[in-house]
Amino acid sequence: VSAPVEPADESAAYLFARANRERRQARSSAAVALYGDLQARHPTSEEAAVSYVSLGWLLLERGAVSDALSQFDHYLGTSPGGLLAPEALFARAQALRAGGQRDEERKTWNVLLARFADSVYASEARRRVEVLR
Amino acid sequence: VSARRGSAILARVAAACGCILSWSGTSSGQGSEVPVDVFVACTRQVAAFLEGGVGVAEPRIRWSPVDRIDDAQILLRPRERGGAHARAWIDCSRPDRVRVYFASWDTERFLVRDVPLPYGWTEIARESMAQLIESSIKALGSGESLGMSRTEMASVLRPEAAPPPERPQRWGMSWGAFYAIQAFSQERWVEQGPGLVVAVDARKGQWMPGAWVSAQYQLPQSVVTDLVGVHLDTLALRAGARLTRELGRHTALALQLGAGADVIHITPLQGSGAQVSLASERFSGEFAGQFALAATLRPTTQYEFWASLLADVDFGMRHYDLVVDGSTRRVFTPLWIRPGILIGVAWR
Repeated sequence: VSAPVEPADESAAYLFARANRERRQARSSAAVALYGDLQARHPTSEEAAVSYVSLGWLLLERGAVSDALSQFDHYLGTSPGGLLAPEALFARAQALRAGGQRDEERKTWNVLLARFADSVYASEARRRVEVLR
Repeated sequence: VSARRGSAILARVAAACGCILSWSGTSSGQGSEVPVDVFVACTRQVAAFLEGGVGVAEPRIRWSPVDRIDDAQILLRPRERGGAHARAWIDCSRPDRVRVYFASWDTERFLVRDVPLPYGWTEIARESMAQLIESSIKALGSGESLGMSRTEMASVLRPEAAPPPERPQRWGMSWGAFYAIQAFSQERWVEQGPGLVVAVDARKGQWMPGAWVSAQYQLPQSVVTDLVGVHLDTLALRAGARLTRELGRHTALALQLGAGADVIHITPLQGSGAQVSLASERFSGEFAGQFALAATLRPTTQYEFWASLLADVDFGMRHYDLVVDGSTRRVFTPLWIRPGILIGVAWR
């Protein structure tokens, strides 16, 4: 029984590293394509899990609010206890704010406050909940 | 590069939503020109990665490499408001986790975030840290009150129980359970059963040698012919050496060679068509060798799954005979080379 060995240019680790490099070098189109490729080829890999947050921010920055939202939702759905769960909730609230979805944004801030009341995001969450009341 | 990217991005997103990304509008009254100071006590490589990977432009980040995190510096109040909007310290002094401290502009409120590094500074860890810091810095823009007071923070900063010095673990023990199915004979195609294995392997290096011992109970086999039959209970004991090659963080291939003995309890049976005088039950030992190629999947550092292609070689070339009037007739011959497959799980 031999483990399937993928060509280096198709492995999750390779695609993830390349996408990150493109993101860091401000080549966001290439980064978006590579993160998408990673998620399509290796949807359950650890690299793909982190990429949902990275790609979500890139899409939000490009104005693709609903696509960004689905990335953050995917992370929160598949990794609810993940390291970046506070960041994904914070990002989700930002995306909802950008999309003008005030009710959903308020709910998201409330979830963040309930789950991560001691996080660095709590202060902003409380402020926005007050504004959106 | 990241700052340029951040500026353009922030302008777009802020235009779209008027979010907290518009730093200067926060109630603390800080202008966008006021930076967040980030002190990084990491290796030069990690520090460079974080600086390049965090794309926040507003608030501007002022990165400062430091040799180590100074507790007094964290608790020190800035002399005047306006020096930095907030401050963060990234402490990479421990190999198993990175700790991030956040302090508000007046250094009266604090937050601490621990990030575990189960596999060290991998690409996943570095990208996760970049995302975490980037989001945190954005959120600090409106940070009126962070989590902890000065007193609480001072208690966090008390020296932690020193972690045991990191000694690269050269060798490690694992133990596991497996189930194997092998070809057996023309009369009974397969033999199978569960087993236990204990192994000691090198944990460092490209090629990692190791040794293993296993015991497998093979489910009873009965072979009955017209004249006579036999019932076999077998305990297969093996020990040997192996060489493991890591293919990735979670996968490995191993080549195993071993030898041992099959301890067999033999019970002669009457045949289906004749009455014969049976020999008494007895134990028999047969020497055997084993060769295996194993693929290992290691989801965590604690346990692993493996699957093997293996072959047992029967050194004794055993066979079971019937003596009729002084002449010997071969009744049943197990295969001398018995290929098979094995799946198992092991804890490390």
